[in-house]
Amino acid sequence: VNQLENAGTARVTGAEMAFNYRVFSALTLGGSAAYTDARLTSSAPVIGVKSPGARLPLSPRYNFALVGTYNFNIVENYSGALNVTDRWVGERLAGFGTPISPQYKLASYNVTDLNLSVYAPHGLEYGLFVRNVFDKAGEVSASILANEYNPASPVPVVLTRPRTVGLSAKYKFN
Amino acid sequence: MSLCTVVVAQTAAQTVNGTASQEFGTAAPNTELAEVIVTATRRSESIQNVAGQVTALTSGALAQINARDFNDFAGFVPGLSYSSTGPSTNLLVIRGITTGSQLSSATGVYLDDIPLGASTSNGIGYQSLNVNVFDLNRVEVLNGPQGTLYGATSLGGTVKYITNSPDLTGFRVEAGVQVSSTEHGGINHAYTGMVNLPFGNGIGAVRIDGYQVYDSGYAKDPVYHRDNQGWDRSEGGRVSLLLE
Repeated sequence: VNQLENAGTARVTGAEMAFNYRVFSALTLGGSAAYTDARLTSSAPVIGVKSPGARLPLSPRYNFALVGTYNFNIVENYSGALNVTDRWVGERLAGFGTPISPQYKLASYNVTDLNLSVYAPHGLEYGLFVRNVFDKAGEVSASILANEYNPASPVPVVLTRPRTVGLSAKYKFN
Repeated sequence: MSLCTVVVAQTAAQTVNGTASQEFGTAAPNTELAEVIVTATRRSESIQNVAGQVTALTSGALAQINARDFNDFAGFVPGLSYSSTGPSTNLLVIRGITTGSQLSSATGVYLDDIPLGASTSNGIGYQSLNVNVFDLNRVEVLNGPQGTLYGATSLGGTVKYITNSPDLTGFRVEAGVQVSSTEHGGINHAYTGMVNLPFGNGIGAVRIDGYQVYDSGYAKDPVYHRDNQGWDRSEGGRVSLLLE
C-alpha cells in the first residue's frame, strides 16, 4: 500500500564552487566541489524520521570532481588530447525509510576515467577510453522495498559500471 | 521570440567552438578560456553574469569526458546527485530536494524550451528522461528553486538540455561508432549519426539526429546463477526544422 506523507519542513545550507583554469595553452584544469547540509527540521514518523534533523536523501555532504586535459601535436596535421577525470561522491541516504525498514546509507565512492583522442585530417577522430580505471564498485542506488515485508532481507544495490575499455571513431563533415 | 533566442545562443556557441578549436593547433600561446553563454535566465548572457549557481557543460566539455548521459556528467556538477537503476529509472536531485519515487519530480528537466515529464503518474520523479547528449549544444544545471522562470517542478533546480539548432550555412554530417568491453559484463556498442540539410538559399534547414546504444549487463544473479543481468538497449532520434 502506498501512502503519501508530507515530510514537513527542511533547511538546506551549503556551498558550491567550480573552476576552470588554463594553466598554459595546452593544459586546462577544471574542478568542482560542493558541501550540502540538507536536513528535515520536523519529524515525520511515517517515513521513519522520529526527530528533527534527519538528512535529506540523495544529498551527499561532500562531492568533488577534477578534470585535466592536455592537448598535444603528434605529427603534422595530427593532434591529440589526453583527458583524466576523477569524481568523488560522498555517502548519502538512498531514501527515507518507514517505521519498519531502516534507511540505507549508500557508501561514498570514487571513479577515475581516462580519455585519449586523436584528431586526424579529413574530419576523422579516434578515441581510446578507460572508464572506472580502478574498477571501483560505487553504490549508485538502493531499494528497501523488500525490507517492508522482511526487515532482514538483503538490500539490492546498483553499482557503478565496472572497468570498461573501449575504442571510438568519429567522422565529421562540415 | 523563443526561436530567436535559440538562434542567438547558437551563433554565440559557434564562436566559442571556433575559439576552442584553436587550442589543438600550434597557434600563438592562448591562455584565455572561451566565454560560456547560457540561457539560464531565459536570455543569452555570459555565465559570469548570471546571479545564482549555474553549471554549463558545453558540447566540447561533454565530448572531452566522453559523456553519454547524466550518469557521466552529474559528478562534475556541484550539488547535483542522482539515483539510477537503468536508462528508464532515474531520479535527479539537486541540493537534496526530492519527492522520492512516487510523485512528480522536484527537479525540472527541459529539452530546449519544452518541459519534460508530466503531472500525472506517468511523470513521476524517478522516471526522469535519460537524454542522450549526442549533438547537444550544452547542458545547463541551475541549482536552487527556479519556480519563477521554470515552473512548479523546479523546486530543487532545473536541468536544461539544449540541442544544436539546424545550421543554415551548410551541409554537415557526423557519424560515430563506439565499441567497449566491461569487466564482469560483455561487449557494449553505440552508434550516433547527424545530418544537417540547408535548403532554399538560407531560408531553412533540417537537422536529423539518431543514436542507438547497447550496454551489456554486469550484475550476477546468485539465486538463479544468471550472468550479465541488467543489459539495456536505447534508441532515440530528433528532427528539427528552422525557418528564417
